[in-house]
Amino acid sequence: MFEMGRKPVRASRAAKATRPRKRTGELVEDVQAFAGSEDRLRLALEIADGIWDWNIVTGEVWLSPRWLETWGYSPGDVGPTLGSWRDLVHPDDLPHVIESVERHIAGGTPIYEEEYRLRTKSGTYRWNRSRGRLTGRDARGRPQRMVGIDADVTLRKEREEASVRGEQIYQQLFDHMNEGFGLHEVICDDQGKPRDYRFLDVNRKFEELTGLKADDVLGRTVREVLPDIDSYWIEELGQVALTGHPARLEEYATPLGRYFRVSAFCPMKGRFASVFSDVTDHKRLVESLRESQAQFLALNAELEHRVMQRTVALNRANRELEAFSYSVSHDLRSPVRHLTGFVKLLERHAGAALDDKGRRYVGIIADSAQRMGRLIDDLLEFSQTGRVELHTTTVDLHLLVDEVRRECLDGLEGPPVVWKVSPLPPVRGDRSLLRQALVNLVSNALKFTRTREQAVIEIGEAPSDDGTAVIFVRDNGVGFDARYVEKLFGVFQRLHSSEEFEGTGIGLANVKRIVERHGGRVWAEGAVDRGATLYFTLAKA
Amino acid sequence: MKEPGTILYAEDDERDIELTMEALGEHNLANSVKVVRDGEEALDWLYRRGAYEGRVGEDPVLILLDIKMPKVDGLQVLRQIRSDARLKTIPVVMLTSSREERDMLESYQLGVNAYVVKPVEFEKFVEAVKEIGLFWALLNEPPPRYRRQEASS
Repeated sequence: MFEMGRKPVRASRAAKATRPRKRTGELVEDVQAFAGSEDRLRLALEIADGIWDWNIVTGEVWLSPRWLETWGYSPGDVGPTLGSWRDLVHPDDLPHVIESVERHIAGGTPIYEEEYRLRTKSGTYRWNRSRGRLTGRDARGRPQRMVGIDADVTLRKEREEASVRGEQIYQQLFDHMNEGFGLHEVICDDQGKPRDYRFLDVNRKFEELTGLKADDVLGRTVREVLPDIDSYWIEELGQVALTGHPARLEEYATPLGRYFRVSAFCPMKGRFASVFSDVTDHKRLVESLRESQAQFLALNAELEHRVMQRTVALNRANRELEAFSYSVSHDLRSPVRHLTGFVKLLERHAGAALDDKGRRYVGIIADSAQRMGRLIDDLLEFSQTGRVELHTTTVDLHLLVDEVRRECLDGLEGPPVVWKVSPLPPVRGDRSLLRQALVNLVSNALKFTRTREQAVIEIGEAPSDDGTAVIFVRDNGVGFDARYVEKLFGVFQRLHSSEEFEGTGIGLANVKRIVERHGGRVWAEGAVDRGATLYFTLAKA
Repeated sequence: MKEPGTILYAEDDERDIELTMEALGEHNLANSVKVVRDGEEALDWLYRRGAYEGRVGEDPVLILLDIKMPKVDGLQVLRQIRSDARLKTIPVVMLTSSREERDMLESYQLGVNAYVVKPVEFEKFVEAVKEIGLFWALLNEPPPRYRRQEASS
């Protein structure tokens, strides 16, 4: 129809001169008809942002000054043609504006009414609320003319849009929030106490968290929906609705089998809104943590109790051991001393009266008593090695070895010993205990090389792979049978008869105990008649 | 060599006494030894009380104490002697079986003059007793008080 209207516009240019006057009259008539009364017309003209008049036959469009002013134009800015108007309509809106006009002309609507964007002179678009009406048809019923009023409704439109947008935002928030939400109305009993509540609104997460469908709960009460609901939910949430004080609760919902953490507030008297999340997993985790903590504590207590018991037992054993060793030290030595003493006195007193056999017996008694005395002394020393407190300092091992060598050689008879002592590192340890260990090792080496034509004793540091000092004492003595190597360090274990080599068999046990008390290790290498090497480790200083 | 003064010897073991006396006898010190059987008797003798009330004679030039004795032990006697203004200058030697570190430590802390562990071998025992007797009873110069007493007697 717009296409068909173009030709007449050009065809009727001749009639232009008379048109404005004639048109105004007609317009007033038309508007009068449109508005219904003179008052309304006046009002419409005052309020209206502009009037337009479209001659469908010629395609001419008349726009009132107010119309032009409304959209920022000066007279002459907009050509008096439909095309000029069309150029001002937002291209996106144009199709449905045209469709709306066509529908009206076709008789589909009593009034043409459309809102669309119109370009102002500054180039920006503003919302136009356009209303109009077909006012004339020719005898054959063809449309002749359409008149209408346009108004700038941008402000209202923006407000509407903002409001719609706002509502959308809230709806989206409501539906997408990660917490369940519910709005409820409390229902009280005769005493004014909450006995139930009705669901007014719930969000999507509510459905997800509770497993209840909005359609099934809205308008119904919680007791209807969940007859087994724990009464504390109703009591506590009801109080929020009644008092207006917000509340936080974390409770179990028996019918749902879940724990919920709820923040409830009162948006209006008698109602409460709850924002909630499912804390079942968290709750269970906390519970299991608490359980394992309790178990841990119980275990710990038990362990501590056991440690205490053991400590008590250990202390008792230690005290007994000390008492034992003290008593050995005092009481066991005395009779031995008496034996040796009185045998000696007997020898002096009656030696002359004894025959050879008798003297031999007395000699055996004396030797045995002395041997027993040495055993007791060694055993006591061994026991003390284990109990004495360590006084750890940096020990110059090289110096200590020199000292020990001199001490062990003192008073020793026989051929000179060849010493091969390589530099030794300073170590951490108790000097007097280390000295004792070295005395044992060196005197052992001397003892077992005694039968050699040329005794060679080597003392040095062996390579170590863990940073500790590995010290060895090697001799070319009688050695030992490697099969019995583990017996070497045992208490009173001897690999040679006492006729061959004297000794109580406590020396290496003492060495082992001393080294182990320093956190080190001892071991030995050797073969019968091929010498022995004793190793021990100590922490380097 | 001067005349030996009295040696007070506290010991509960009969056999140890005999051996010790034997050893002291070898060096002619046995006659000047007063043997008591426990710490209590030692203190009674020193303080002239109980059985020794009215005892005449001087304080000993040397006290030999066994540690382990009935009633009052050697360490207690030593403690008493060292806390007594009159007795504290008398040399005291512990003559004992014990090698226990704590006994030794306590003895020295209480101010013992020597600590001798009775050797098991008789020869060594005799040697030790002889040395003690000779040194403390004969060679050692006693504190000035004794000289004054000697001079006045």
